[in-house]
Amino acid sequence: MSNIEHTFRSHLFSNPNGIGYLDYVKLAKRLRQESNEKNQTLAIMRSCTLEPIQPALEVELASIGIKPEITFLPFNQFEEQLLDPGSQLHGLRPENLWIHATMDAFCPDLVATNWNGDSTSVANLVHATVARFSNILENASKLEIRRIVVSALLVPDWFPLGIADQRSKTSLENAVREINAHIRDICETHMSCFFFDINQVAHRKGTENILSSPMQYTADLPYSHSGLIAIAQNLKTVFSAVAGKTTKCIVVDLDNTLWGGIVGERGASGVEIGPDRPGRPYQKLQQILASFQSRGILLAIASKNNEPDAMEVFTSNRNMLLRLADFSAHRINWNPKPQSVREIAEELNIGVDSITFIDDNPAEREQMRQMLPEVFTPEIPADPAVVPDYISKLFCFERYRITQDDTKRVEMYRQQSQRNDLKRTSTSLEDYYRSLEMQMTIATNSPEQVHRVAQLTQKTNQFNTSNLRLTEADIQNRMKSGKHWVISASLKDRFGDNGQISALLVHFLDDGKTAEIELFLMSCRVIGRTAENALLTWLLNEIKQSRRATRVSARFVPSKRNQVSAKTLPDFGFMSKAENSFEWNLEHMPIPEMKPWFQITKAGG
Amino acid sequence: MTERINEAIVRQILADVLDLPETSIHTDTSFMTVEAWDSLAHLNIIMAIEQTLAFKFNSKDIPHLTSYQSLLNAIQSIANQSK
Repeated sequence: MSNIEHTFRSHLFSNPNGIGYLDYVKLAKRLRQESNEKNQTLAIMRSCTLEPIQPALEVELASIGIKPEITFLPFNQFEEQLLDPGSQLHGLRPENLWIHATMDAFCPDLVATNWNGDSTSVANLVHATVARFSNILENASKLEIRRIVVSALLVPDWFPLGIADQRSKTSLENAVREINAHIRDICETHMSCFFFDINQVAHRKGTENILSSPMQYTADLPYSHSGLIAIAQNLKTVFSAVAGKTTKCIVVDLDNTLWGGIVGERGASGVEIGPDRPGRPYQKLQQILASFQSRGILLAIASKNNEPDAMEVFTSNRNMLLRLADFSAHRINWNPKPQSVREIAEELNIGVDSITFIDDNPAEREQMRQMLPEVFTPEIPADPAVVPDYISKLFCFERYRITQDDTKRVEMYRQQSQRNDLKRTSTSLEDYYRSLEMQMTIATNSPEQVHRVAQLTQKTNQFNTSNLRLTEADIQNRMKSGKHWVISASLKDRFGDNGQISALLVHFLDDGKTAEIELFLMSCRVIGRTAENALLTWLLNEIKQSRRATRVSARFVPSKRNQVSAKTLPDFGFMSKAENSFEWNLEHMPIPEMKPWFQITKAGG
Repeated sequence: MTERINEAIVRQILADVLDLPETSIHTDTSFMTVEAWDSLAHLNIIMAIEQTLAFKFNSKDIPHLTSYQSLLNAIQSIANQSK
């Protein structure tokens, strides 16, 4: 994570009330002064003026490490830009495209129709608008754009028949909601399309606050300064979620964070928690933390307390919603919290930059920001009543989709601690591996794995030989090319299912002799169980048997965090060709035996 | 008193949006004299003032608020209306 990323993240989250338009203008200026370097391109296809969103969008995206070259495509050009090979969009070939249509310009017939007329004409108008969207997204997804974010239509706060609209099935509101449901479904059918429901923004902020009629009628800009900021923030959230930048673990404080008051002074039954005043906000916060758990985010504790005092709250206070078992790690002692957080990261085998730290105490937050700036430490409102709502809306807890692995993650970490116990009691490593009873299931070019493989490429930093970050579209293209194997492996053992833990990308080169391992990654939760060895053994045999190559080449691309995988290929026996470049000659080099403690199954047969 | 404050606010906003030193903003600063003051900078200026002073300009005025002096006059007239 870059410095600019932390700097701007801390600017944005230094005030729980957020910052205003002018602050964004100033920060955008600072951003340009600090570094003019761009790392992505973003084109904006729109039916209204949107240019004034630029300062807020630049600053928001900088806070997640995206520094885009932003291009506003010509006003109200959709099909023209997509279909004309000479258009600005075709010239740009951007990595990211944001499509933002507004009803007035995109489907004026819908606005102008007679809302007291027959329902067929409304149905036809809905159909025509959906067909136009479908066509646009179809054509956009042919352009090899990595991410296409598609705004929903804003449900208007104008009701043509007034309160009578509430009882009408063919109201404008219902028509727009129906169109939006279709846009969402169309996005699901294109791997590179991501739905952005601007109505969530409107619902939270209110249409009267985010819209501005004077700006609409003088500059074709429907949004107020607060509307533009809210849209920029939420667009950032979508980009962050799609890029898999979700927090992996929330480390919470206990006193005055998870419950009210100080347990050392009030005792386990005296702390504020539960359905009555003043314990309710804390109960709500615990509910929200539990909901994050079901998104696959781990919970951990860093508290300055006498451990037995704190433990007693979990064991004896019946109003506690979260149990100790809900926390994957805890440090309850008098050590500095940056040290505790660092230890938790090591214990859970995650990077400190994937941790969010929640603490009511400003001094603790400041110390964390100073000593571990990679940890995300948002400001916390002083009033406990507004804390749960504030935390529930933080962008870092958003995922675009929740996978099965996400929902099972907390349980997986619990099984991991049972494995660690077994490891401690085993007499030798081999003895430990055997007693784990590991079963690996390997799938090649399986459409069901597209999403999980994309997710793994985006968030695996440690065991990752090339750091190739791929979208679902990239993976699908490879699966369909006839020249690639996208291999994914899942691992079960006697303690449970580890889920999909590894991805391998093999590219069969046109020379007919070479299979190139483009990427080999493994989830850190199974590092140290010889799974990499089993996978490579399986892969070499598979390539040899299919006779698609006589040599296998592979590279290691070093990053800040992938040292753990630097030695994987040479340790397995790959020949070193040049620095970080390796090869296996299938004609002359015997493939090592499969480790006897693995049982391998090919998925689907 | 409020006039003084408004002058300072507008000067600062013009300086920030147009990327000019605050001292270079005078009563005759306008879109005619500053190259960076184009139609998009115009929208940014309007937004920044609306946010800072927490009001909305009248849509009839917006296209004409293209100088330091006209911005100040419009702000003053909104302030007088709310008295």
